[in-house]
Amino acid sequence: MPGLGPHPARRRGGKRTNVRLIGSVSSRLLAYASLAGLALLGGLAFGRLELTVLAVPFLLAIVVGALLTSERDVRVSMAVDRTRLLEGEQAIVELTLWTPQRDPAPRVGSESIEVTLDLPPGVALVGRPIQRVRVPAGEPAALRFTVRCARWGLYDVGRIRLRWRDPLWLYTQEGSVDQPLTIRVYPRPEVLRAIVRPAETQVYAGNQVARTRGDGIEFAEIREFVSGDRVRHINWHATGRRGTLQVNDHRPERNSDVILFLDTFRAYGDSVDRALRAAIGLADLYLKQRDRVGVIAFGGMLRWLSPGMGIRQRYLLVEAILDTRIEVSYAWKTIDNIPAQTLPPKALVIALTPLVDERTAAALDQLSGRGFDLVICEVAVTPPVSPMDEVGQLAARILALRRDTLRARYHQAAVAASAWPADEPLEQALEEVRLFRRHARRRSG
Amino acid sequence: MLVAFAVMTLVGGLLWRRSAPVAWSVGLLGAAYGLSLIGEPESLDAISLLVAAALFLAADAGYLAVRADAFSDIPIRPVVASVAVAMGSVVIGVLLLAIGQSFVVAGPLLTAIGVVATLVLLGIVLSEATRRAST
Repeated sequence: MPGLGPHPARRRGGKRTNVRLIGSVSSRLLAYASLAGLALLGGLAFGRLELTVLAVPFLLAIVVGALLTSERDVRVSMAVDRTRLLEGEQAIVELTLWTPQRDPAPRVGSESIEVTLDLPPGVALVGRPIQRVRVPAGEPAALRFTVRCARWGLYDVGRIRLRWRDPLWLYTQEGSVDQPLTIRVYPRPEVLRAIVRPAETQVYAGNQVARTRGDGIEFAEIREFVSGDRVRHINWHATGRRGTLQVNDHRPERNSDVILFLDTFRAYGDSVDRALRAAIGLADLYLKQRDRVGVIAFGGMLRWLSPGMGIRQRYLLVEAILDTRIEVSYAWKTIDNIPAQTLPPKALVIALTPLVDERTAAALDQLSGRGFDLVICEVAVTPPVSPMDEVGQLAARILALRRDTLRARYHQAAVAASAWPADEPLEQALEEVRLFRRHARRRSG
Repeated sequence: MLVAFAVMTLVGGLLWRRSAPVAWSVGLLGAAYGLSLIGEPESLDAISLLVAAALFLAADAGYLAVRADAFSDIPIRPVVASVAVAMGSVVIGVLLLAIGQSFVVAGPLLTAIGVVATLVLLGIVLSEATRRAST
């Protein structure tokens, strides 16, 4: 078909499915038949041909539509150019339709078929929602629909509806087909420039400057030579000044373990979306630093991914985050349910939570109590109760005070906790965390 | 007065987006025309062709205006088809009137045609009503 050449991207899908269109008649047909019958009866009763003539157009419409109606089988195949998108991106769904060639003679009437996609919530059609295509017998006809996904998630776009109608829309034949065609829409990550440096590092090589001494590039201090030190590390200038052998001590570059702790008990506005975007942005940044990153979705359904590094871990993290679901549950949960290998010792735990659910606050207390390096980024949300009346306003104020109290309590326990309002970038909240941790380290010596 | 009532019914159907008043209004308008013929001389009224076409176009337009269709689209095809059917009905009506002119009143041939057509239509209406009742 001209203008619909092969799409440059690879296609997904393509399985052919037969669809039998099932016929139905419009309520107009009954009305037209009734009006025609009344006109004919009137003509007979009163002996006036003029009344009989009134029935002619209605009868003609019924007869013409009936003559054009016949059994229709349509074969459909679907394909999509991209199955992985970011939020706001578009994908092209291409449909190919065939009708079987029943006889060599051209068919009477139009084989024009209307097609539309039956899309789930969250996916929108760009352009005309219904497209009409002429399907010549025995030849394929192609259609393209452009879909746009505004929000992350998994979407099934394989359901289409077909309809044939006679020119007067008295007779209709409809059918639908459901092909397995899923697109995955990933959240757009938050743009971040700098990470929150972990307090402790692990034993493997990485990009974080460790607090311990060892072989590395980063200069730590000058100290006296002890047996076992390398001669190449001797600082001759310092040796000359002090009169004893002095060596340069360095800090090694090590990696660290980072755990992203997501509160998935409930969604408050867009809190979950923002938390997921922040998680992906943080994971990207830490994985680039050759750190090991894991994720824990702490909610109605507890899910986790053990820390790992590299590109493979990035894909696993993104898929794990994409599969995160809000499942309301009233069961009490603790971090004791989390396997030990998911929470390695000395890991930096970054919690992304609206600080509303008590179970999350208790879990964070446990993490802090067990000595994990904890950072809390409160995904500030609008009050869950719309402050339309005095009671609602009071409830909103109480919730805000409660969150402030929690943050103050964490600050007292030397846990960095900052609020991330919806209208501010995450970088700002992380900078507050970095400042707090720097200040806390100075105070602790 | 019947015409006024029919028009009011049509307007009401359009305002409340109901299709049944459209059919009733067209029926009432046809009945008004039929009543106007009563008492008239036996000569054939050629305006009946235009009345028939106008009633059909009014019915179609009314139904299209009140449709609540999931496949919303600009109904160009049905409008063109309606006009074509109306014009075709005028041609057929001319033939019918020409045949009828050769009989002073509805002759035996026309009577037979009318009875057969009425029975066929009644059959369509009854079968469709039965099918809808069963579903």
